Amino acid sequence: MLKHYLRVAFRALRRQKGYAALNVAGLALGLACCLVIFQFVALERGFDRFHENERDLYRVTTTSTQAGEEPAAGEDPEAGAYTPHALAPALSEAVPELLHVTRVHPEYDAAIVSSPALPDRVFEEERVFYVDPSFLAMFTFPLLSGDAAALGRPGDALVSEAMARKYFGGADPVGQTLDVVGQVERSYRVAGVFRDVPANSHLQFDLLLPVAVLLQQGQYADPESGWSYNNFATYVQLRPGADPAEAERKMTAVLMANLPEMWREQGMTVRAGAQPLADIHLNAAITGPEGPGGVVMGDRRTVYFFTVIGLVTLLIALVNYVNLATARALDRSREVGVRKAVGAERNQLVAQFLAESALTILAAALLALVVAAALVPLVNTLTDTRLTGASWASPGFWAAFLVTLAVGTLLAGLYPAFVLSSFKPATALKGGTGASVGGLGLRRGLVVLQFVASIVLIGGTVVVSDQLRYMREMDLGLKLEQVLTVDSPRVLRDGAAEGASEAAANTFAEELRRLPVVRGVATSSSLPGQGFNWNGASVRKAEDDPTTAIRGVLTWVDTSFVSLYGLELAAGDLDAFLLPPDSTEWDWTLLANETAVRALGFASPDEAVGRAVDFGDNDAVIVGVVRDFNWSSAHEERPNVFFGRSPGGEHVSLRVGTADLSGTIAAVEATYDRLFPGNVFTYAFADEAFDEQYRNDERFATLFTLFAGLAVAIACLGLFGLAAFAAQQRRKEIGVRKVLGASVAGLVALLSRDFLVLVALAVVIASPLVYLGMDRWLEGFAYHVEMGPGVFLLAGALALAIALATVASQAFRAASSDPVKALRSE
Amino acid sequence: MSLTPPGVSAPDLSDAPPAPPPSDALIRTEDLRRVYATDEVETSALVGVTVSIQRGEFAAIMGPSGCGKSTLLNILGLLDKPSGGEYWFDGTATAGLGERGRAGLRRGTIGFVFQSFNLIDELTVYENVELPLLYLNLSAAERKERTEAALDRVQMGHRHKHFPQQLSGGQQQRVAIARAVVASPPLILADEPTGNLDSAHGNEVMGLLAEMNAAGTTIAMVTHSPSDADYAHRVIHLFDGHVVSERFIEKGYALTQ
Repeated sequence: MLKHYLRVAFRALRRQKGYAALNVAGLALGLACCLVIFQFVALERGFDRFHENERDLYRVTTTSTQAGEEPAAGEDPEAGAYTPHALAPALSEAVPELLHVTRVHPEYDAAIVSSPALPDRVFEEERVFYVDPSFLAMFTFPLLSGDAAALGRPGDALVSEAMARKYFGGADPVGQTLDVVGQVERSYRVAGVFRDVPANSHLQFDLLLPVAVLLQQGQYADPESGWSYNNFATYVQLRPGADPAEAERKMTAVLMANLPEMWREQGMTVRAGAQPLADIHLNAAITGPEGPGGVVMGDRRTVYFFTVIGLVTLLIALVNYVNLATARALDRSREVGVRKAVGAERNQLVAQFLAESALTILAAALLALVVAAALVPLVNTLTDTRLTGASWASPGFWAAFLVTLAVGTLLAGLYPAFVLSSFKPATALKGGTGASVGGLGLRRGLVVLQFVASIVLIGGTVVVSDQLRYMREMDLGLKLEQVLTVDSPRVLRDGAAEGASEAAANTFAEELRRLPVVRGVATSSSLPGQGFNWNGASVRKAEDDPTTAIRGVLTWVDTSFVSLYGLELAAGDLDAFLLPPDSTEWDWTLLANETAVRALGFASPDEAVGRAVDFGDNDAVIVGVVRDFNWSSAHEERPNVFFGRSPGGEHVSLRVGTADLSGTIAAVEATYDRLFPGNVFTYAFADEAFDEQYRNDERFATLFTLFAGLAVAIACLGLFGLAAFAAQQRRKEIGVRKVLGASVAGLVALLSRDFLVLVALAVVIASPLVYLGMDRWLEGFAYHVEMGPGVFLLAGALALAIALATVASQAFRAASSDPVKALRSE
Repeated sequence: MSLTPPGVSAPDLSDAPPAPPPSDALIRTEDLRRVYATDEVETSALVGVTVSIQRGEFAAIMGPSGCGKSTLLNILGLLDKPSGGEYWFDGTATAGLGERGRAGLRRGTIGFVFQSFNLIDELTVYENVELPLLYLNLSAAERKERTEAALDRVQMGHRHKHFPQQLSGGQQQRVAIARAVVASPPLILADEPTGNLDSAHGNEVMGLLAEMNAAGTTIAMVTHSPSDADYAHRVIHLFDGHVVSERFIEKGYALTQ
């Protein structure tokens, strides 16, 4: 009997090619979207789960609270994962719950790496970590050759397979030399090769260096530095069965016992937390040391939104199926009548139509796999993700896939099957249904549901693109256009004599000023959109109690920086910010923004000028106040910003003319190469570099638009099918109306009206849903667009236009057909 | 060879009332009523119809359009339920049966022949004929044997792989007849079986039906065609939902023509 069912199903699909194609295509598209989204979600949610010790691995977080500012119950104070380097050894001693502890310190700027094996080539490496030897014992990053003990030997380094290939080709990498200019400048012997780090690891690196080497250098060599530079991430592995809460308590005790004096004075308390490894990637609220390419952060909200989009798309596709299948039911009524007449029972008919659904859905699923496989590279290119299709190899995926198919068959197939099998045989044999006009009310409801979902996605797309445009066009209070930024030479900067880097930058700046196309040159120690040099410093009026300190951020700049970036002075005098001509060192003469001045308790910008402040235990003075500006993306609230004056910084900014940009860049590069041979010349445009911060948002917007577009296309396929069907059903009516003198336009309007009313109803239902959903998304931005009625009007108008185009084409075909044929066929 | 089915009384062409129903009637109805109701109107399609059809009889039901012929046939075929009255099929009272009960009673005992053939387009000639046997859960071998026999009987064996669209109307109706008899049901209900056919094909089809009847199958046929009705032993006339007259036709007419 099953063979019979399948044979009939197959022939029915073959005979109704157009209908079958619509149905299979719609479902396949929906399933394909779902598959790709599933991949994305699986990748994002599956981060860091490949470590054998995953359950026992944690990152140490700290939450500091100032006396009098304790968070209210239930309020989650901001935690961070920045820890000082003395923490790890102290934890090993004091917390028996811990099996292993390792520090991870990224190369905060890229390292310049070369090898005698590859003379004349210099590379910038962004994925470099300084770690403890226990690193490889804790994490599952398998070594292919060499041993983990290398990380305990100061001159040894471990490299990834990819890096080994890059520098040494097919030669044995072990024993080769790498010359690294980073925070430490020295040569290393390659002592081993580890397998390339998988894409789903939040820690990304190609080069592992012993942390001990770093601790002998520069700022960390200072014996006092152990508890004051929070530039390290600390990871711990608990002993099996150990209680994380107990470990947290003991870690907190260690932190409190070693709290820097200054913090103690301010009444600070610090609490340690153990953040499970698998929580790190998607928990954007807790940030830690990242470096330029060392840590991959995701966004839980993005994953959440895409899960919803995936399910909505699948829903639209299934609803399509139900809709088309029940509409087609009228065509099958005669068959149902015959089968009942010859003795079929209802459950036999239900089984038959379910078999047809299963066959259609199976066909769609196979097609979906092909479409998804084609979509994955597209999504990867569009959004810079690394979907690999790896999850397709897992039995879990196939189990989920089969369950989805089975559930889909039941969900989508049961209703049409019951409708079809319920036809009264006497009526069905005449081509009628004996049921309520073939479930017309339900089909209408389903069309509304589909369009509600579509409009929600269209509305979402509108809001997302609005917000992106808003962020790009937001008045930052900084002039980033036509600003070229160049990093000062690395090879000179690190490990050279104190001040050599600044001197080099100054020389470079002087040379550049002589170029006719360069209209201004400034140096700074950070750039807009790239964070500050000092985050979370305690700042207060000099005369105030330490407990009144606010949190401030600081970047070192030279005097030209203010005018080059178009910052406006609200009070004070820029001349006072000018370093004395003979000065070669930064000092604590500060500019502050209006927000900082207000936070410090000054009544007006003018009042702040000339006032002494304590800035992170340094005696500083505010000489000017700049109008508020946005240094970071629209995601972040404007902090209390301070600029310290400095004779030079690692970053050189040039304001250049628009004419002959490539010539300008070539001239700058020539100067750079002449002054700093052996360095890699890298430049960027300040506005583009700033917009880099929106890469995740753009990725989100691209994916959102892509999937919303596909979802709407699927909904339209369904609408197209229904409109064609309705037109066919009303052939006689159309024929009669034409005979009586109706115009084609009038008939198109008549046929389209029913559908457009449904879409209009969907607009009304969908609008509040768009508002609620997107309001949640916008909450992630400190600065965002307000959703006005325009969003809903636009989304509604788009949906109506798309629906009208879909329906009207069918209506037009029906209205233009020959009425004689229509009437004769009755 | 006697062509009178056992138990059929002699035709009576006089105005005298028909003989009371004999005891082995295959079909017997009592005061059968069928009302079609919509929100606004109620239409009575059958108003107190009492008929009986004997085993082996060939009865024709005639009357103008809308008189209730097809409604009666649908109820007799257990495809529809009466609004009132009682219908005994082969001695079983059916008015109170649900869909499942009616389907069970119908299966294998009633064959249908329709004006528009009602073959399933997706099935071949062979599969269309086999269909009732599938629902009877017969073995594949038995299905094959019976289907081939039925097709041979209507001389359509050579077209068994064709689809209905590839056949002429007359051929389609022959296939439909094969489907109606494949399960050897005691009763065939035919609803204007020649209505969509030209006279030559129509005669072929009527010849087949008469042959089935001659072999013992009871037939009830709705028709507009007086010449088709002449194949029957008895003609029941309906008008506005009532049986207005019954006429017995001289036996043997069908086969001697």
